[in-house]
Amino acid sequence: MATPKLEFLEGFEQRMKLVAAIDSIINRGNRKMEFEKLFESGQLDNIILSVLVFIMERTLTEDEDCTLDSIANFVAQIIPEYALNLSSEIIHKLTEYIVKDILQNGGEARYYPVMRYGQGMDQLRIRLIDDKLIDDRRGYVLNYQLTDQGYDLLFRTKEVEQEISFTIEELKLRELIKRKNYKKAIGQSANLVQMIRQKKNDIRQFIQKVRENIYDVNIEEFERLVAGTYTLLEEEYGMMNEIREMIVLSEERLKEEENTRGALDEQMSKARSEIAVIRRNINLTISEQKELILERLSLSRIYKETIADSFALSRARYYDFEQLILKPLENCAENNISSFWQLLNPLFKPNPDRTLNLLTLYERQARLKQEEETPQSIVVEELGEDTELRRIKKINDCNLEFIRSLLEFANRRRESFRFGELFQDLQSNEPLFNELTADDLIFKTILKLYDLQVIDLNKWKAQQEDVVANATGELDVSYCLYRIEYAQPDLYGIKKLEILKPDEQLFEQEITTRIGEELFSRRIAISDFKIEVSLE
Amino acid sequence: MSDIKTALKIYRRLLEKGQLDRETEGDLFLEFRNGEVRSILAEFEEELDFKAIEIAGSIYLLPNSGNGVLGFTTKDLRESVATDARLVDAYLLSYISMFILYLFYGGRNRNPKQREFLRISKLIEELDRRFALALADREEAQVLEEKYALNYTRMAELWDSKQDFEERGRKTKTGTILNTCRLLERENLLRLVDEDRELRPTRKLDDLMLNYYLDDSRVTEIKGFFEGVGPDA
Repeated sequence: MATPKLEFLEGFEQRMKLVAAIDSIINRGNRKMEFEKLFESGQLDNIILSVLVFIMERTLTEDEDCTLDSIANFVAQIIPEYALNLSSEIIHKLTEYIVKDILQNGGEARYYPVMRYGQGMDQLRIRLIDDKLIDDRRGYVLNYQLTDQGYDLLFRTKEVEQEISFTIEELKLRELIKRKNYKKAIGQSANLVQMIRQKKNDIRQFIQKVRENIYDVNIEEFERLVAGTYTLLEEEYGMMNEIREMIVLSEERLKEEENTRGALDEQMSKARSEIAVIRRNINLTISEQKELILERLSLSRIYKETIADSFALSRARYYDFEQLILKPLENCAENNISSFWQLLNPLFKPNPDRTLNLLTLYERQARLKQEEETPQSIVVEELGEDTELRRIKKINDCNLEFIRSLLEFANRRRESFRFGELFQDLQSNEPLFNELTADDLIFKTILKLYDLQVIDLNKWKAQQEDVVANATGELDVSYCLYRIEYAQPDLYGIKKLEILKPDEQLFEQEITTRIGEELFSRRIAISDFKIEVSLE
Repeated sequence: MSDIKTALKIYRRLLEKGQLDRETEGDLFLEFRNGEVRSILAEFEEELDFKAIEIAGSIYLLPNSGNGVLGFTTKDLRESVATDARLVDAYLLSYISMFILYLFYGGRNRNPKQREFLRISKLIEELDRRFALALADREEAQVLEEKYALNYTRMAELWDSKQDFEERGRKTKTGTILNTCRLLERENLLRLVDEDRELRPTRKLDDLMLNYYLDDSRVTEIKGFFEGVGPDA
């Protein structure tokens, strides 16, 4: 049975919009008791609304970022008013809870059922804040701002129902300047800048909405925004110029006064600096207006193109992702697994380097390296195996150099010597010395050699077997000798080395390492081993 | 410039970046609408097995599903996991990628996009829940008819064996997810923000999903793929 038309219920959905917005705060989803229990009943509602007001304040001033950090700072400021004392870590988490879980509903869309009499129930999407991802030098930074719904809610809670009209604002400003009430005029001119910025924000949010889903946007909204903004702007543009001329006149009058009197009294100097502020605001408004006109043009273009595209798509429907892709993925036959990439192919960038680039034949990780070049902010995770391999290779190389130096030193001395003497000699080769002392490698290696007691080169030559590269980074004398022999076939003419500990003599050394700006030093004490040399 | 040169120039740009934007390269973008240039590109598309489509001020080059020359191969996907990755690792990576797409665009409303961002912790919860169904099913498999393929159960077990909620090692749940996300990030589909705790789709992903990927006209192609009769499957 059709309901008789009741006129007083016309536009009822407008009233429900406010209820829906408030409901999203009061009956918030994603409640986390760890935060909720910190507050007495209703306290958190007050804080959430305060956060919204703070975001509004920031949104209207484009020069100031509204990041999670700045919101957290604000929350930290107001928390004592609620007789609470929370650590800054908790405040940060609380802010994240308010912004992401409550105001953004954990990223998910939130709907509220609203009755449109005559048309039936409708689902109204509630979104009080929006965020903009900015690619900053610090990485991606999120900037929060109010949506139209957010403004609507806040204006209705305090400001008059309708936003203060532009023209009234301007008229007020003109009157104020006429009366030389500069102080108030400064506030008014700042308001003009803020309002024009707000309009710019509206347009940006609208473009975003169009891009996301054209079906969510109705034509009236577009017309209101475009027609309204454009006519208003054209009028504004002329009037702002008039105001600027008036400011110029005021400045001239001040100048004349200065010339005739010789100097300006305190009141007049104040007036002059106030006029300068107004002038700056007016100039700012005019340049912002120019940008706004340009943005409006791109808005119309994007809207028209998206509408045109959507005609082609309006007949097309979306399939059910879960039924068509996810479930078959869970049930697929083994031989299909290797073809799964085909599902992702249409979304991925073309990948011609892989097949067309000859270098990939020679470079072990060519493809990964190439990919690193494109998006510079992304750090490709280094695979564990690769780092480990590099570390082992480095240790092997250091050990090799140490054994080589040991043989070479023995050949030079041609008689037994102490570890301390070898150590002093190594200091002349600074890069090698630094490598050997980092992580105390040289001391560990000499201890291992002492453990072996003898390096019998003749014996090694006699029973040489196939040597494989040492895979663990442990000292492998045989591997070192094999590599040294390649460049030095006589192994420096050494027959045998014996590492002995004839007495309790200690070798002590202060080793300094530089990490960043800091210098660290440590003291090492080790038995001063004696190395007996037998030559060929 | 001759039409063929223009078409090649567009093709080259698309090959380099995968897309051509009106905002940065307006002239070349408009040339795409030139009938002659468009028809030359159409021949490239046919012979080289890709599509060039225009969506909201950007032209995208999309390799067709079976295109192994311009697209990815399973080996590539495995390399994204690790050099020693097994087939089951690549399966998990593909599955997580698809699951992320599902959480973002699996809505059954007129607008399939159902969220603005996705926290990694939420993604782990959802994956846990999904795989838990398969594991519970495994336990009852003797009495009930088997619902999942064996491989899927094995993948669920692999996921279940990964630990350390907070740790980021490659073999943990978070590490596995981040590995998948980084691949998608390199393809300019996702952004990892808030110290790698949150995922956001890029404009490219929104464009492609809402205007092409989810389109009903692809149903036959996808069904064909799963039936093993898809192009080059």
